[in-house]
Amino acid sequence: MDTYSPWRGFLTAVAVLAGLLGFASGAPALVGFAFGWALLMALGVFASRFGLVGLVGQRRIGPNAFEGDLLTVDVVLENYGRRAARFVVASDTFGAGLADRQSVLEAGPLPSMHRRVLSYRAFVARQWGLYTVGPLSLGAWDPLGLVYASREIPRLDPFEVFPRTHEIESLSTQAGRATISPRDSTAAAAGQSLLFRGVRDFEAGDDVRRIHWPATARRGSPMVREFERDQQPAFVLFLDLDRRGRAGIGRNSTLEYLVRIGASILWTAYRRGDVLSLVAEGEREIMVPPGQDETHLATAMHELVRVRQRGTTSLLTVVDRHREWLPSGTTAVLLLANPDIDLDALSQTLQGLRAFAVRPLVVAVDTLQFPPVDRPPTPVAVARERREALRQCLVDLDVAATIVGPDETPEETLKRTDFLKNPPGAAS
Amino acid sequence: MSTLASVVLYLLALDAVACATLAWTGPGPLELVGWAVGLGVVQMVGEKLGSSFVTIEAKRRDRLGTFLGTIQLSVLVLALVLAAAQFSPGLLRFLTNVLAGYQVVAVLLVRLTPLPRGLVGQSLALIALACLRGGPLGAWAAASALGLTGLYIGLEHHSRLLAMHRVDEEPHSPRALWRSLLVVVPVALLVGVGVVQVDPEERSLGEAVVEQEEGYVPLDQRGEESKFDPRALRAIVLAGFGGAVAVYFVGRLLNRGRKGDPKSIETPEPLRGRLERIRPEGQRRSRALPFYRGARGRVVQAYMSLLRGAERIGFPRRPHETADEFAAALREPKTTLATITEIFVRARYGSSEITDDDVAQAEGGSDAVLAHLSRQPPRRRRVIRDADAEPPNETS
Repeated sequence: MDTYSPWRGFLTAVAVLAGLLGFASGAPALVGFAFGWALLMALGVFASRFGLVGLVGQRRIGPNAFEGDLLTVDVVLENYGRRAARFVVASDTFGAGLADRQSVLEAGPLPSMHRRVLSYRAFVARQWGLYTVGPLSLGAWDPLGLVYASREIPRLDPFEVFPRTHEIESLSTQAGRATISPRDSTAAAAGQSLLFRGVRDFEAGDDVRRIHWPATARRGSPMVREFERDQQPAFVLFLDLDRRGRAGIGRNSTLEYLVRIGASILWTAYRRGDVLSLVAEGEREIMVPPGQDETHLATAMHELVRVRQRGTTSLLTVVDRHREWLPSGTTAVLLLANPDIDLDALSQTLQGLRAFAVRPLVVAVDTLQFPPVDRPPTPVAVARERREALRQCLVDLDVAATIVGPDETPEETLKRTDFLKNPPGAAS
Repeated sequence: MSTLASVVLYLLALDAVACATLAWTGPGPLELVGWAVGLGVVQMVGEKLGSSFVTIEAKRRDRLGTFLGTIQLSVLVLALVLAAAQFSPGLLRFLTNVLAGYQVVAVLLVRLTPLPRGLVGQSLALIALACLRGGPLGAWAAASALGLTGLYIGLEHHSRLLAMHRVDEEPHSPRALWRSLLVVVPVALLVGVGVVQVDPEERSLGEAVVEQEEGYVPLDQRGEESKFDPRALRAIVLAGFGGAVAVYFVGRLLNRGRKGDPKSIETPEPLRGRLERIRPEGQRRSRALPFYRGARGRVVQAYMSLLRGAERIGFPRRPHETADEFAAALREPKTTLATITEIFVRARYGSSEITDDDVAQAEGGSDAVLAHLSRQPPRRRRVIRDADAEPPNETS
């Protein structure tokens, strides 16, 4: 709602005219009318400010969301004043939305020493990136709606918008099993699965829910059940942030493709319950250590939406540097931003990964097909030749891979049934 | 609330006509009743017409409203300036009749624009005519106009505010009325009483007769020597028309300037949570250690401060742990920890006397353990609270 009263200007002009006419014609009633209006305005200024006395507001919002999400933002209004608060307007700026401000009304009464949570739903309309939420401002009108007083709470909350993700069906056949518990992929060691391993003596700190009562009765001392350990499928995403991979502008840029495809890959790994990690090297080294929970995924996404293609290190170098840290059985996805790479080095890297019992997958964004930003355009024939060479190399190595170009959006690419299923060009 | 606002608007329109006609034309009771009924009927028709006006495209409706409003404003300003500059009962009677007639049109078009500025402006012009008469009637006119206008804009504001934020106005109507009255009535009373004090007598029509010699004389009152002056009439009409056009274009220019405001405000439907009581500072649950008496109490106090310190550095005691188990889990410093644990168990559960040496050892030991822990890297010990526990699994 506009904070400017539609009546104030009109009636003030009328009052001024009345006052002038009253003075000119010697009519005290007209002067009295003008004076009365001035008094109402003064009372309005006072009443609107008085309405905010003792009111405190704060916002509660999650730190991130996906594109297109509908969020609930809580505004907590607390009244520390002596009188009940009514008709208080809380205006908030949600940076990831389209509107400049979101305004909610607490019509009241909000009694003294009470709080109420007002929530509003905001649509994440902007693209992935970093935004702010705030400042929050509390406002109140005077009873006649002539004057609006507001008080700003200068607190800005950072808010991250993650790219919209798509679950990649083909990845489930390429790595560990789905995350639905209980898993049947377990190791013969004590762990947290639901597969029964045996019973043992109770130790301090054991969960009492695991006491095995029949064995306890037989032995005369507490015994607890023990279960086998789940196999944790590990997953690592190597992201190419080499500056030579920069091309295109805005939504049609290689960075856009890298981030969107990377986010979907991480999301799929998380959904399958993999222990996921992210490795990249741009202007700084990015290393999200292996982890499994939602917070960990948020950390990886947080790094992902902040990346810039300003690195000088080739992705193959980064992979080689981290190869020995990858546990056997890991699935490693190499998200390449430049198909114009040394194919021999690529072969060595992929074979090296296999030597460590790591399953490599390759997604290559064909930079040469994007409009160049810092280099002359590559002739079409040359670009096609390099693309074909890369494809042939991957086919020869029998690595499941996909080469992505600007002719289809990241979403279309991710929804393809053959995405990361077979070597590029091979029949599925 | 909108119905209440319409009633107040009707009262304002009727009050204005009544005040102006009482001041200058002296109507009988029947005439006043006629005005009341007539305006009521016309306003009902006007309210009905509102739904028809809604079908007109908003932009065209705004333009039409602005155009008509500009003409009305020009006429009113011209009339009031004439009336104030030259106090002439005949002219004022003439103007009262004309403006009261226009009041019917203003009431009929009350819903042409979202805000009935036309009707409010017309009413205030009639009130101004009444105010020129002075005395108690003038005071009443000023006070009632102030009160009714203030009450109307207060109700209209609340109605608009609630509708904009998608809040049901029904439960808030009495409060809105009360808030508006609370501000408006004292001011209106103050103005009314003040004006009566300053100007207790109405202006007599006799003093105007003298001025009438050189002032405006209505056509019907002029003698044979008075001639119709077409140049004056042409000047008035041209000035009024020129002024109207000028005001219209200035208004459009101002509106265009305001439309450039880029701010867009969303007013989503608020989801109101439960009302919670804020616990005052003094009533908050104290985190201070409980007080124990005597030497035994001092030992317990020392041990509990040790537990609190350990919790602060990330090593809380688990609910099921005994003092010995906790000491075994914490491990370091082994000797001091064992000593203070042993003294605590004796003090808390034993029957033997606690000596001053025991107290000194416990207090010194507690400080020593905490000092030792503070030099160590922070530890993160997981504690499962009872509230997090799930029902036991009985499958095997």
